[in-house]
Amino acid sequence: MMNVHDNQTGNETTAMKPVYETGFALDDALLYLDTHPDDPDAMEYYRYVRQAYENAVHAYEQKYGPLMFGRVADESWSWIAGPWPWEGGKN
Amino acid sequence: MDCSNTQTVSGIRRPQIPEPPCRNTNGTTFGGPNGFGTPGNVLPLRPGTPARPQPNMPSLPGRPPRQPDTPPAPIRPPKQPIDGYSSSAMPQTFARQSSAPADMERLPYAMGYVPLQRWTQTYSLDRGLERGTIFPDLDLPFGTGRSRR
Repeated sequence: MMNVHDNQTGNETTAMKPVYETGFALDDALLYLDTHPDDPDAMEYYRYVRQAYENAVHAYEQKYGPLMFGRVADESWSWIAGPWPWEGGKN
Repeated sequence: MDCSNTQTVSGIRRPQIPEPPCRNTNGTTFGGPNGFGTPGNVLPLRPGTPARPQPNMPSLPGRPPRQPDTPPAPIRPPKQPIDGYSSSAMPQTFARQSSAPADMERLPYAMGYVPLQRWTQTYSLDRGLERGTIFPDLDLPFGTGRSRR
């Protein structure tokens, strides 16, 4: 499941790009909603971006394994199976 | 507070530049919409307003009501697409595209206000991350170089 060489070709970076974009949009939507808790347009946008974020994370994890240690869904502790920093891993 | 608008030097009355009208501590003005002040009196308080101790104000000549200054017309940036990204696209100026409420002219002095942001069309996801905000209204031109005088 883990492919260290993907990182060298930039594929892992490509897979992380939508994670960063949707994650950031989620953070900004949070700041707006904190001051506008009843804004229906903001809530609709939040739902859209949250779904997009989950899709992006899922797509990443299909190729590179769990993105966060709270998201390990495997039988064994696959968290340590990813490339370590000295092996080229970033996450 | 001395609100006289002339000074006497060597017996010669020398007119000064008119000062802004004095404000009572109850927020009303001399010569405002309630009419000109009468000697020794302050203007009546609005019903329900609690009375506050008033300083002993001298009588004033009538002053015309203060006209609010007309603000300069806001600079409107050219219409630009929200989605997509072009390297020549500039963030908007400090003037907001959505208009401010019309009663802003009548807000009391000496208080700070924070206009409440309204929801608008957001940037696309990639442009939002590049600009550091998903809100075009918050994409302000800080740090784009020194102002030229």
